[in-house]
Amino acid sequence: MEQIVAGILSVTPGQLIMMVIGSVLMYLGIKKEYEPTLLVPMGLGTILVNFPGTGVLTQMVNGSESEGVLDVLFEAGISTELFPLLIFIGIGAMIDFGPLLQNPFMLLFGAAAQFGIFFTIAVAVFFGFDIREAASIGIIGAADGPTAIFVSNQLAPNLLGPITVAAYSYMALVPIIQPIAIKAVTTKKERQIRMTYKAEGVSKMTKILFPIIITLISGFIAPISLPLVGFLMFGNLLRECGVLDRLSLTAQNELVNIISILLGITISVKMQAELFLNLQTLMIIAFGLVAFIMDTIGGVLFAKFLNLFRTQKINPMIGGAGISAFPMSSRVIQKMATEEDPQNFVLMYAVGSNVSGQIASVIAGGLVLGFFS
Amino acid sequence: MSTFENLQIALELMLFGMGGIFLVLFLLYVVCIVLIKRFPADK
Repeated sequence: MEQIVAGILSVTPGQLIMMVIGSVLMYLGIKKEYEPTLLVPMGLGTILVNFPGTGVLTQMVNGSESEGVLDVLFEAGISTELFPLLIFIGIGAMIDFGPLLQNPFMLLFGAAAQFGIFFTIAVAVFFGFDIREAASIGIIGAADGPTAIFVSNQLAPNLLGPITVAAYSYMALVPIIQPIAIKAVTTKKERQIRMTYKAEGVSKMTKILFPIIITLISGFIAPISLPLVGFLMFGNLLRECGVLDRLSLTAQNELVNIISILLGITISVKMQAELFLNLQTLMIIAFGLVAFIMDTIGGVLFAKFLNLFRTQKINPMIGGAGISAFPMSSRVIQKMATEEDPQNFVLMYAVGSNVSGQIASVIAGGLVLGFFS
Repeated sequence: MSTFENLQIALELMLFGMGGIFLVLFLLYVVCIVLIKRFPADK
């Protein structure tokens, strides 16, 4: 009985707040279905790491060090970058580059929609963050959880917790953020622009060679991006080569599922009250929103800029789909297009732009790391 | 390092980053065009 009372009395207000935050993360994951694969394990993990003297973390017990399971997992899977990279194999196996290869011009929108990353880095620096910390915060704008984890773990591991929460939360909020940002910089007439779609097939050879060539180009231009790009393209090659369907299915399902379970709960090591509850966290959450908004605006404005020179106009909303949040962003764009004009079908262009964002975000992550290497 | 120096680096990073991404994706665009022309889909 004394032990129970002592346990309850030794909880700090900060730890209680973190337990509430953990519960909110689980609520968002379960009830609202916002990125449940990460938020549910992370929510429970947040509660686990905030008990006084919790056994899941490494601690001193009677003068000797007792290893905590979450610290062991963190050292094995996050410090080594293993978990985010293994997830990339699965993501690569899930990506169909077909819509992008049918409209290769969409590649440029993926590039433009990474603007939020670099804009946010400048904003974070302006608010007093060190340049490496700012770069980690900016990478929330990659709209890609594993890339954000990979980059921030190398540049600012102390900010890994809030950056991961922000990255996954805003990815889930894309259907709310993007329409507001897009409407702010486009007119109704622009959103009604129709784009004719010609369904053209893509040969198997093209689909096989594409991931290999991306790897080669990235390797020569930004070799530090190879763990990210290489693993993503390896997964895609499993999918497209046609002789490894069993491995492709395993990568898409079992591998991603197992690593997602471990990744979510392991990240929560950084959700301890003393690491998370500070002004920096609030600023990171705010800057993450800036990154997503500026990504969308960057893509849309780039499309509007191209329209100055084109006779066949592009619906500028397609530019906003150039972020990595797939397929949510392309669905949002199609929904907006239908709202403006029920006969407007831009989904395949939006999907192409969205897939391009997946490639561009990992390249952006690699380039940011390359800048500091 | 002062905020001003950090801002300078941030702007350099913006140029390097956006330039790099556009370069890589433009190369990929060219590669796509070549691949589609060289290996057209079966009718």
